[in-house]
Amino acid sequence: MTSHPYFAEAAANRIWSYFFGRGLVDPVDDFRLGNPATHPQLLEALASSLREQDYDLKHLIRLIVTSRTYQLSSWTNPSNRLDRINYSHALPRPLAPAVLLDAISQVTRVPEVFGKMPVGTKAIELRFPSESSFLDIFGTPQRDVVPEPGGKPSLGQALHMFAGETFNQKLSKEGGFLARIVESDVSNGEIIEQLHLAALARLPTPGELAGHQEMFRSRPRKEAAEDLLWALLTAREFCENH
Amino acid sequence: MTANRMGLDHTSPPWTRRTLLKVGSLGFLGLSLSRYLRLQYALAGSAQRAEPKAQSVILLWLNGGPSQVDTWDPKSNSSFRPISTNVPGIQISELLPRMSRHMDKLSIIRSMKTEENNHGLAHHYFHTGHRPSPAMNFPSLGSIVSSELAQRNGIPPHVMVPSIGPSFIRYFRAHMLGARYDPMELPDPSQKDFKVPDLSLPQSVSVERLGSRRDAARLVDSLYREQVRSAEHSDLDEFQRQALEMILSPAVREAFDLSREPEKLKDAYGRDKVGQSALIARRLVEAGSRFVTVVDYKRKETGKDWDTHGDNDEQHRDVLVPGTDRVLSTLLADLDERGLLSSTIVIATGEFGRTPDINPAGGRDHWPHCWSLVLGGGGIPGGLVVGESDERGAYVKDRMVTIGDLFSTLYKALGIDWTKEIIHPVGRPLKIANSIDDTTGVPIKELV
Repeated sequence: MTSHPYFAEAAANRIWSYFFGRGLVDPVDDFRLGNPATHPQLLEALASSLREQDYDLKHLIRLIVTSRTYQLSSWTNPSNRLDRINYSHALPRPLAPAVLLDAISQVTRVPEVFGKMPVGTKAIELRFPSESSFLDIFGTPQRDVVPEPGGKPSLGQALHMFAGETFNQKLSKEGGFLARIVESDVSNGEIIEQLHLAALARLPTPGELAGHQEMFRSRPRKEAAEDLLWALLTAREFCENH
Repeated sequence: MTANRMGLDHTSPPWTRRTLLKVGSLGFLGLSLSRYLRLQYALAGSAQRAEPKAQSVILLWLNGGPSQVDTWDPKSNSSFRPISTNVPGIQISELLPRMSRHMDKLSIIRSMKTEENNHGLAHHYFHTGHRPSPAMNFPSLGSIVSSELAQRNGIPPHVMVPSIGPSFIRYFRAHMLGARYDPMELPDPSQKDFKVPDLSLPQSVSVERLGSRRDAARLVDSLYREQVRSAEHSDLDEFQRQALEMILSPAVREAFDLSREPEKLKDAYGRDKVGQSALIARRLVEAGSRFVTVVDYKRKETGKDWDTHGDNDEQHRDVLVPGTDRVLSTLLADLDERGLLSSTIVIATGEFGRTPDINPAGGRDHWPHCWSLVLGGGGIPGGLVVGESDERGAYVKDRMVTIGDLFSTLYKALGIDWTKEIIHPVGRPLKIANSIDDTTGVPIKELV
């Protein structure tokens, strides 16, 4: 199979697309004269490396993830914000549905239960499509193609964010992360910081902190905390790989 | 060239021997020549009207492709007899007894000719009017209609019920027009626990709290949005706007609520997947949807669909055509009774027809060269036959109709400019009514 002249290019291009959200040839399976690579020398270099390393994918992945290009921030500046093909900044991508569900479970510390699977099973570990209203709506892993399609926005997703059980039940679950922190004697400011760290792995900016504290002052503490966590879990910053 | 494709056009000599014979027989069976001419005159006049009558479309999607000779174009190579209908001169297969009493509401096109012979490609061709290209995705008919006509009453403009599933849904999507015009996919409404998920807020969340959540979300996300752009942002933003409107509107919840329909009507539609889907479709167009696709695919009773490569006759006789006969006749009567038929186009079709010959497995295979579909309502008159096939229903004998012609007919009835082109992001103009050899489709004069 590896003797096919396009094999190394096609494989390298596909692996590249997993990490960047688009192939050097894009769509990844559309190699033809009318659809050239954006960076032909780079594709050739990746393909050569793959050949030289006897098609060792780990080697290729290491090469990609240790590159400066892969480590670029998704934050843009005025000169590169329109760029989608030159790798001047990382392109944000929606998290895969199963990954997003696991992230929500992790932040709220309320595990999702999938049918008869043991409690604590992650969505990404499911070997077969399983009962889950979240995955029904956001996309069930089919385990037949790599990478899984999905993450495409839909009306059903928006409805689920407002009214769905994934968000609402996990937020108000007795004994969950949120319930415990609200009942403890930490200050509102600390709650706001804790929730930001849990969901976004960063502290709120002074402006954000002040705005949220305002909300905490005008509402019951439990409700305010739930509403803030809802906002964090539905934020693009949380739902996207950036 | 177009003139001789229009058998009943007043601007061209219309009185071929065949039409005169047909008109003569109309008189014999109760419709006088003068009434027939008045009807034609009214139709000619209606073509110039300013206000389109059609507001929405219900597409009954007969997935897999029905056999034309066993449905709307009966021939001697069918195992089934032709029967007369309530329109003198029009005969259809005996498998459609209920529809024979509603033939005045739908017209038959017996000379459809399409390009693709495989299900996926033919789906693409039927729903977009274009042959598939590896370089680009084309928006579907339903998404174009939805984007051209304004959304009404907070009701999703483009709906599919039940969902056709992950491998074929892409042929129904809006692609470059934006995900907001993708069909909203509903679950199977014949299931006991049918409900469109998440249409109402849980008790713990008041409308007021929804407001405060939105405020918090704006604050949380503003920094990220300033710095990071992604295509998915605006799509999801639009969906959130729509979702909020839907959650806050009781009318939207009601539109999806089948329990408001009398049990008798549910029985009349049929308690199966397609029957109940058609009932939901009627509720949705009544409430404001623009394009609802009712998917007739993999019937539960047999697991089979219209793709009858084996046992064509048994499948058509025992399962497929009786289902369509019941659903279509009930839908037409129901729409008519509610005064919705004049504003709702109903079209029943698959992606192609089936071979005139029976194969060794007793089946009929794919056949795009000449096949039939029915449409009517929304100002499109019923009781007419457009085009003619040869004596075995194999090839077009008279007045070929292309997908572009069909699209332009629908667009015209809906008041949409069928000559419009959309510029694809790659810079290529796309005709919304694309016909063969890169021409624009021509509306069927008898119908619009």
